[in-house]
Amino acid sequence: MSDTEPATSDVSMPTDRASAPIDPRLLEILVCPITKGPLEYDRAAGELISRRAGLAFPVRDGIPIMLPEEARTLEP
Amino acid sequence: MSDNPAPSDRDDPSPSGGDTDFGFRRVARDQKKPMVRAVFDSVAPRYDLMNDLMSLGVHRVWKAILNTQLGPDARKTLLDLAGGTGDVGFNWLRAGGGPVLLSDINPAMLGVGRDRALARGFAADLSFLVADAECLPLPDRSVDRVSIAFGLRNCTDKDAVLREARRVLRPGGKFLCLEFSRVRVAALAPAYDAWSFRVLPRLGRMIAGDADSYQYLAESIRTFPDQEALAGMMRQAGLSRVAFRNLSGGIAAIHSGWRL
Repeated sequence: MSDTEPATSDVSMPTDRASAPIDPRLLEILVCPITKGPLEYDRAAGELISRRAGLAFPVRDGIPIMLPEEARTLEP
Repeated sequence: MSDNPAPSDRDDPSPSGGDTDFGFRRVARDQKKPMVRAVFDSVAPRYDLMNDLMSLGVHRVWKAILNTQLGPDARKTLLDLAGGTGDVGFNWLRAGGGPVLLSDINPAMLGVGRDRALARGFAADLSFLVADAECLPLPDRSVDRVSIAFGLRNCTDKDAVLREARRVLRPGGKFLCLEFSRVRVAALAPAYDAWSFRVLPRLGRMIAGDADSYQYLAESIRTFPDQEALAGMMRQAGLSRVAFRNLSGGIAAIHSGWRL
C-alpha cells in the first residue's frame, strides 16, 4: 500500500502503558460489540471480557480496543 | 433540503460475501478493512494538513455547518464515528455540547485526536474508543447524536453502519453524515476531476510520501452512493425524516435522519 513506516508504533500509545485504567465513563456504558451484553473489566490484565462472546478486548493506554479481530479468545 | 424517494437501482451488487469497492478496484469484502486501515495508518500523521490542501480549507466550513445541524446542547451526548482527529467533537464542545464519545477503527488516527484534545484542553469531556462502526460496543438508545464525517465511504458494510447508528440513538435522536458526494453543478465537474485525479495524488506523494493512499481517497469519493442513494439507504436502515443539503455544489453533502 505504502512505502512509509506503518504508524502502529505511534508514540502516543506506548504498549508499556497497556494497563493504564480505562475512562470510567466508558466503563459504565460499553457493551460487547457482538452480543451487546455486559462486559467485565479485568484491570490487572487490562482487558474487557465478554463471557457470552468468549472474547477479551484489550485496553491499550486507557483506550478500549473493541474490535473482535483484536480480541483474545477465552479458554473454554 | 430534499426528501426525494430513493432510486430503486442501487449499484451495490454484493449484499454479502463477494466483493466490495476499494476506490475503483473491487476487492474481497474481508480485504477492505485491512486495506483501509493501511491507508489511514499511512496518512494519519499528516491527515489534517492534507485535508486542508485537498479541500483548499473548505472542509472547515463544511464541518462548521455540520456542527450547527448537530445542535450542540450540554445535556446531550454525541457519538462521533470515524472521529479520528477530533474535528467534529471539538466543534461540538466549543459550542457548549455535552459529553463526546470519539470512536475510530484506527488507533493511529485516534492517537492524533487525543494529542490534539490534550493540547486544546478538551480531554475532560472526551472519551476515546477504538470500535468498528458496523458493530458498535454501545447499548441501544444510549446517545442523542451520532455523526460521521468523511468516514462512511471507507466502511465496508455501509448499511450496517446506518443500522447501528439508529440502534444506539435515543428516540428523538439525530444522525448526521458529512461526506463527499456528487457534483450537481456541471461547470464545476471538469476542474474537480482534474483536481482529484491529477493534483491530489501528487500532493499526497509530496506531502505524505504516499500517492497510492490519496489515489484511493479520490477514487473512493467517486464510488460512494450519490445524494439520493444514500438517503434511500438511511430510510432502509429505519431513519425517519431523511434529508440532505449539498455543500459547494454537491462536492460534499450533509445527510440527516432521526430516530423517532
